[in-house]
Amino acid sequence: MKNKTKHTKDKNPVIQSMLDHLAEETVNPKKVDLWPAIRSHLAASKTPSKHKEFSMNKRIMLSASIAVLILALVTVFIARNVTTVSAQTILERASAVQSATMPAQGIWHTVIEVYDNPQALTGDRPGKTTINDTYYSLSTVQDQSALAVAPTFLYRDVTTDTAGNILDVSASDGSFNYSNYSANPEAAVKNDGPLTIYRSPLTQDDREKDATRDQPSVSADSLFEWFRNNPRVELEGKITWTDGSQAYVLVDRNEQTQKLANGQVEKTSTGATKMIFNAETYQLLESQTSIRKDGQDIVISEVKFVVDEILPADTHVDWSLSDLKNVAFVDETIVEDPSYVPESTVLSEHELAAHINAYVLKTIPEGFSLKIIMTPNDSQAQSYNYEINYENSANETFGMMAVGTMDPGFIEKSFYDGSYVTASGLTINYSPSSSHGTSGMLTIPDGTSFLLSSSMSREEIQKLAEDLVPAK
Amino acid sequence: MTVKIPSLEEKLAVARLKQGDLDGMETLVKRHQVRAVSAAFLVVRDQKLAEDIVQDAFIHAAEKIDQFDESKPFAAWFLRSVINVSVKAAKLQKRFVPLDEDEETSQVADWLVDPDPRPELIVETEETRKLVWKALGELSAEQRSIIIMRHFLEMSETEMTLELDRPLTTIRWRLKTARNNLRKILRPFWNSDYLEMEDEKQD
Repeated sequence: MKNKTKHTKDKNPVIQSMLDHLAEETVNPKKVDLWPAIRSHLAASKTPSKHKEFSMNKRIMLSASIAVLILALVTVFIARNVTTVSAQTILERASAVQSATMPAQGIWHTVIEVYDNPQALTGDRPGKTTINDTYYSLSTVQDQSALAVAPTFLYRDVTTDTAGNILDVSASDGSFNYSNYSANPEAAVKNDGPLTIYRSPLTQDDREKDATRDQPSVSADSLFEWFRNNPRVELEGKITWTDGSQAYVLVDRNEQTQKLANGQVEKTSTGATKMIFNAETYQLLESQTSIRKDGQDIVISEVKFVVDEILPADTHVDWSLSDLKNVAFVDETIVEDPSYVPESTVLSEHELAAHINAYVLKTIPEGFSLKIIMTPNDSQAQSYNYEINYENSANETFGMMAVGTMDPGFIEKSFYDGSYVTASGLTINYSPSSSHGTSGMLTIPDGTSFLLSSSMSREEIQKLAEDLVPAK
Repeated sequence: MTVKIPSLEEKLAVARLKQGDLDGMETLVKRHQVRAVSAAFLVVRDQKLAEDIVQDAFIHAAEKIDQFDESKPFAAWFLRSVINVSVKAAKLQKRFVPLDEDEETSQVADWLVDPDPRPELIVETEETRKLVWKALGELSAEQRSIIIMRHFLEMSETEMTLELDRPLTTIRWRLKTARNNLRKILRPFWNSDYLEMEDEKQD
């Protein structure tokens, strides 16, 4: 007797409940607040630049550095006789720089210091600090044909903790990438001793990405976007900067508004974001985001623009990682990731027939297209999965996946919700119905089975099954 | 979780963000950050890394917002990208998570992929949760992501297919990997109704 107590795979309340509880045991919703850090990053740079995908939040400021460099380049055109200005005026003058023509030659050199304390830890600068030192060849921005000119893009990002210990390194000398993250998943893990930095040659793809990664106009547009469109931004005052120059401080104060029982509205400070501009050049010197916690303002993100300059195009860049202490360099040997699933190969019907006995629709239904793919079934690609998929623009699907010969009784036990036999002797054993369509197992006369899956009804599938013919 | 229909508030937030108003982003972040961090955490099993992933994903979403159709739910679009990055991160992170692989864990992992006996017949206890957590760690990142998308984010097969860029048949096949050797392991956790059914069969 068939088991009529169906379960759908979309509703598994126990698994769902357990996953909810597992997440809640660690992730406290009240303590998750990513917005201040995200806002800070978006305000400083719309396009975080990451050379290694998983060195999170390290190369965040390239776009900003380019934008800042633009500011530096054209500030000569800005009126210097400024005494009293509004926040909006400062922003307009700074953003006016964006339309400046860029120099065609030279090397942009920027040094940016990024401090991150996303958990709002208290104490003496308890977060992580990243020094981003970048050299960017201007010629590649002006003329993409200059890609062959090296170096295009040199950088080194070094992240340290409050004690000065090196936590992360991501760098490129124009010929090699350097990172403490190995691309080889089998790389040995070392929890103590020197930090291993893996060196791997730049690929052509890397070079092209480096040369085209950030168009300065886009970056500059984004730099002021948020502050300019934010009516809460105000001029906090004028300060003396570390080099003795005068600087404007713009601030966006964050408040929490709460309606009290007596109907009155109470506003509580929750933090602030500041941008500091040179009062003469309107160069952005620093951006800082803080939150208010237990009556204390805690800096959670700070970006200091330490150096931005244009060097002559023929400048010899003295790039090195030799000053890093307690690190060990290893040449990366890339080996195959055992969990990597190679790309599928698209086959023709004829090629499919050369591999396996399979069936295809004699006539492709109107509006549908056929795609036959072969997917390696193991990392050594010694066995394959074959899939025959029909799909139309409305996402209606009819697919068959070759699964070989099933163990005796498996199909009857697992696909027990009715069956259908075509005139040509193909058997379909159905799975319990689902709101997402129909699934089952199609077995051809030689005993080979195909997992069948479709968005269509059983009646429609059976009609199509009558049209199945051996692939040739 | 209900993420299928974009709320008016979410539509407005996306529209504002498209116009360059980052207040729109604030709405989206505050609305989805906890679910996103939780989902990423279940895949990468490291809260700090999960927060980094989600933070980056929001920044990326802000950059690509012009490509997003605001008539569709932001959450599905966004959470798919979170899962995708989490899977990649988990592959690199895998070596940092030593697992005590044993038969019991392996079998629970299989059950997560294809829940049979029926999940509703398993009693949720702290012990079973620990077993499930351990078993999740034994699954590959892709398998784990499928479990999270299906059961935690409640994505449909179609939504999962979009993310994984794999045909529906493959998704279903992965979910349908039949395993029948779980009874011995989970028997202590089955509820009494199921035990009675099993005993009747034995009789």
